[in-house]
Amino acid sequence: MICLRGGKLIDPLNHRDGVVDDIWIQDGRIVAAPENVDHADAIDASSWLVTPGGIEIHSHIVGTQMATARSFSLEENTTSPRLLMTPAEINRAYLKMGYTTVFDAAMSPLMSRIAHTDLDRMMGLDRGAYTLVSDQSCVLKAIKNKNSEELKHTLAWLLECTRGYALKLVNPGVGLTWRALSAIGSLDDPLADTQLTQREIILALAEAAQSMGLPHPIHLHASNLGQPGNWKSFCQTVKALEGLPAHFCHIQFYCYGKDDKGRMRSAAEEVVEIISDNPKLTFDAGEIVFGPAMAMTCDLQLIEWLHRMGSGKWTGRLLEGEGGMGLLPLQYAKKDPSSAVQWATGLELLLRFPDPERLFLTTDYPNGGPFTDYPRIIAWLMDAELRQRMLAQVHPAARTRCGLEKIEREYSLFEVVQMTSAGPAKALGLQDRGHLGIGAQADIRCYQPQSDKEAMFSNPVLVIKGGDIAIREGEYYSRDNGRLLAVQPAWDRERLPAIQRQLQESTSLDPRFYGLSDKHQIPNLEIIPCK
Amino acid sequence: MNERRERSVACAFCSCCCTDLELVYQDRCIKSVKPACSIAGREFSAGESDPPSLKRGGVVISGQKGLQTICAELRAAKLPLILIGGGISLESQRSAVLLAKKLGACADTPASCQSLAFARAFAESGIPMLTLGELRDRVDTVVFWNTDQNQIHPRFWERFIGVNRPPRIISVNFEIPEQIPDSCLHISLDMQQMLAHLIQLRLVLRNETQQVSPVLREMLATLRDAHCGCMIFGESLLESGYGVLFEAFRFIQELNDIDKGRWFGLMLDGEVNSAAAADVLSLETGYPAAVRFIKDEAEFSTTEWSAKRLIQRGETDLVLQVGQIDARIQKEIENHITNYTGKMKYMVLDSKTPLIQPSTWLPVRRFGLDEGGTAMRMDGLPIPIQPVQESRKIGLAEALTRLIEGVEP
Ligand code: SF4
Repeated sequence: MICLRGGKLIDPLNHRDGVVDDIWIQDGRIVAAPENVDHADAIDASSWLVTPGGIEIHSHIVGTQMATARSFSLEENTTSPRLLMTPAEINRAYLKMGYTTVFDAAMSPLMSRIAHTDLDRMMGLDRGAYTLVSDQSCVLKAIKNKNSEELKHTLAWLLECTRGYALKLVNPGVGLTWRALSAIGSLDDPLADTQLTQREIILALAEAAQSMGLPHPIHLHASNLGQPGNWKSFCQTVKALEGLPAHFCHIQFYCYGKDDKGRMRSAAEEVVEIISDNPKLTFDAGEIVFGPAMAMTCDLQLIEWLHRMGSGKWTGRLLEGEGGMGLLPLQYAKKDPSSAVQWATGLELLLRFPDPERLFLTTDYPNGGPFTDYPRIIAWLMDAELRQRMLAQVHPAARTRCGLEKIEREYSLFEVVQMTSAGPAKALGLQDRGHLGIGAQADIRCYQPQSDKEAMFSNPVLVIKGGDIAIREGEYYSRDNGRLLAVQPAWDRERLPAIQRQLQESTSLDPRFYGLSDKHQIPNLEIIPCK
Repeated sequence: MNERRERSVACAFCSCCCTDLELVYQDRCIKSVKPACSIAGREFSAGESDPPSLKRGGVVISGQKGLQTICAELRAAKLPLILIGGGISLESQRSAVLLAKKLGACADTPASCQSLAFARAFAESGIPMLTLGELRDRVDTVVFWNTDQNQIHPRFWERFIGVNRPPRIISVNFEIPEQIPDSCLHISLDMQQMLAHLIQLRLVLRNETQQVSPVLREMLATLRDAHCGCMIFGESLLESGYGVLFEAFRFIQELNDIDKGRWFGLMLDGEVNSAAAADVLSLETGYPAAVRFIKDEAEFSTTEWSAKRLIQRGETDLVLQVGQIDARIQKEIENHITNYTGKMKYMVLDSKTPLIQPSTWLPVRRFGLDEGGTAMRMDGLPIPIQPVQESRKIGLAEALTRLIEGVEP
């Protein structure tokens, strides 16, 4: 038994903001204070802030795309700190920052075995991955057949055979249209091959996720990412959901308008006005940080657009029976007007949005930069003066084409914990994480209060994962007690031969080899129940 | 006699990794394999035989005794080098990296044998790729550059080319197999001039010159007509160095940039998981080849820690080869052994008889026959491989696990 004594608790889900109390830990969980204690390891937390462990809702950390990205950056990636880390480095870097649960943003079913090999190297963390479904041939066939039962069973099979946590949609249909040498125009354009529209795909999958009772709703990368003027199509996609729950990822990249000269400007204010009223929607920011980054996405249309805009070399892979993936190195520079607008737009979005339990901190790693820069972003959110100093260093477009300069709001510690822990836990349906209540998993990060918030959030004095000390004063203790989080909705196994027949039409594999095979062993698997 | 059939068996004897084989067993022995290609037929029916003795001396050791010998030598070595080869599972390759880490040793992969030419060309240019199912279903024009896929991938053609509708074929420098339609455009190019040819093709494509041989002009016209094309690179092109590879990759990129069609590239890997060794090392260390572990951290240097340099300079006192390695490195080892007999120990953990004489060889189970694990298909698809017969030999994965435990200080 461990007792964290007398810390100042920042625990939004239990409405505790600075309450001084003890936290008792036994068998990996937070427990009530015992009446009689034979023995407890007491840790003096009286000068610390005690908060639940951080939860990463959207980061590209595993899979073939990471392996290819490392080879693609052979020279750049040899300098330290490197952008494209190995799984072991990612494991350690998240824990060092106080994050205890992480989710990979896009796992290809065809390549899921590689993703899981990587996830198996991150044993210090609770971790999971979202299964890509929006271009998967069997899924699109079921949507085309307008057969919602067939669709649900197909999705459940896919989640099970990939050990996925949620349904990931990436610019739905983009793999098909890109192959067919066309592009997605609007939500209602018929897409190549299937003649389905994006609206139909998104609605069908959002309804399916809801009726399957998945703990996390559809996780959606919308269309037109990065393009000036895209805020309108983004808001149309939000409205298209007709009140269904969804999580929209890296939305900074959709908050762009055009100024009277046609240049990119922030449309964060317009977007916030449309999205803040819908309580069933959650978002993550996808803020950028200055320095090297890598576009890593299944949105091949986006990669091609970036390449044609002059962003240089790219690589990618078309995947049979589903979409594809692409990579393109990026550099966000302070003196580059587009980078400056993107940086300011992300902060403006986070500062204008009223509810930190619905908009979370991410950099869409590695797309917006390294996740290890979260402490720097938090510092900007907590300190208006620091923001102004940074604004003075970057291209003037960040002031003239964005609303950031005039915003005075500063995040409180409570709001930072909402944004990095409580909110993501709720959005992911992880009831025993993201808080410090009795019964919660003992995932805890403690900070020594400092005026330098970047330093404070970079170096928690203590990180506890599943009841064990993982980090103490910067020292990493490898415990390997993390779990693989997955869902397992029920499905009719009698349908398997029909699914496999369909699969055979679009893949060159015997269907038994698709996804993870039955014999694949996952250490420490935890099934999160469906509602 | 008991006859039993096993369907949907995956094959790891070349990097096509076919998943549609049927094995027929009589009692516990594999009697036949369908659809049999020359390689699968031979490998699956190899059965378990006692390891042949080495032709020119060396020691063949087995089981526990063998592990103890290797372990003792590894512990005693000052700067051991672990050479991670192909023909073994990804899991075994990973264990070989972990062994190097535990020892504070150097680790290298076949990628460095070509001075990282492919890796450097890929990193500088990038190349769009595709999986074999896309090649089968979507591609309308295929260029085979110096490939001999019938020899090393006997079922490649039957499974992935023109299954539904025949694509246009251009073959550069290889014998046309019977299956190829008459309409195939066959081109012979001098390998010594390959760099010049590729530069020429790029110049014409970009409209910067019109001076080009009729055959290259015809080739280019066919390429520009494609909706979806794929260039398939054989091992000899992959070995022709950075310059040729870079030009070839840029050519693909420019076809995409200038024309309306989509073009992709595919590397034909010979031995299964040979190219994957670099990915595995990179997964563990961030680097594809030539690393040395110092206090658990990997240091990368092709000038300091590549197998070739370490062996040439006589800096390593023990080479442990895990799996099959590149002929060029074999040559370096052989030279070294000839010139400096006794200074460097050369030990092998593999199922196949080493081509040159090691000081010690521990024969292990054959991946794809009596050892399972993951195989990486040539397009990057991971395929789980199950063992199809029993064996008395030690498995490579198990041997490496025991070595990792055994070298613990
Ligand atoms: S082509 Fe290769 S993978 Fe396919 S059966 Fe023959 S040896 Fe095995």
